[in-house]
Amino acid sequence: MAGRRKVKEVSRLKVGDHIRVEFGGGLVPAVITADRGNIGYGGRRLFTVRAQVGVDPDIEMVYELGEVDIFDA
Amino acid sequence: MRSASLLKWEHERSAQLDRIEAAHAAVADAAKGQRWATNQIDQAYAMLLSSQFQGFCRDLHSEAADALLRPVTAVRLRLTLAREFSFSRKLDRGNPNPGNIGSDFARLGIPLWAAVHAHDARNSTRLKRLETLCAWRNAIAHQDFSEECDAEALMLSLVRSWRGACNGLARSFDCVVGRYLADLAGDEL
Repeated sequence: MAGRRKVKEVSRLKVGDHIRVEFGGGLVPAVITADRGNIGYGGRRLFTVRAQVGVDPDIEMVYELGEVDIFDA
Repeated sequence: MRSASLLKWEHERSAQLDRIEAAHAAVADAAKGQRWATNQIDQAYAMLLSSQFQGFCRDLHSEAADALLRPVTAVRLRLTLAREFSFSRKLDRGNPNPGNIGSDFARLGIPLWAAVHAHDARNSTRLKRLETLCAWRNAIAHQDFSEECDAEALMLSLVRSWRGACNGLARSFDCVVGRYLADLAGDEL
């Protein structure tokens, strides 16, 4: 009996990608630190991002976003 | 409707825990009567149970936060709230102890433990077992055992009782968070 092949869900994003996210009305650099999988509302895929939100590199925020809210670097 | 987080707990995470149960059985068969052989596996099992339950709680928190954000159409407001909901989330770093769980869900406006106690009378016992699991998790992780957490006293039956408590709590968490979201936004997870 042929086994059922699991369809791998494709995302344009992966852990380690340098991306940009919205902050303060503009876009700031960020890095994807985790792919949380399809645990968002309605099964949407969530990513953990670490964003540099100030001039001081110590000012970083880590939070979760859906793919639609993540912009290419 | 069950959350994606609960489904993951009941299938993917449960399967991971079943594998270490199987490892315990294999070692127990090979080394009959030698407790030392299985004790290390029991310690690993307790650690994995704690980490998988932490993962479930974090998943449910993410899922609930995403559901709360869904009706917010103003993009900048939505992203600001997204940052706020997961800012300094204790479950990203700390144990899944009752304090950390309650604190993180309180950020979403959910009085989790009060609702969980009201949901099922068995949750008081489950809560105590979760506290014990977290104490053991720390003792094992730091190799800092005590009278309450004596490495020699750790047995498979004890870890199984903690797992049963986690299963019950996971179902209650899922239910009360789903109800809260339904009341608030007219939609469940």
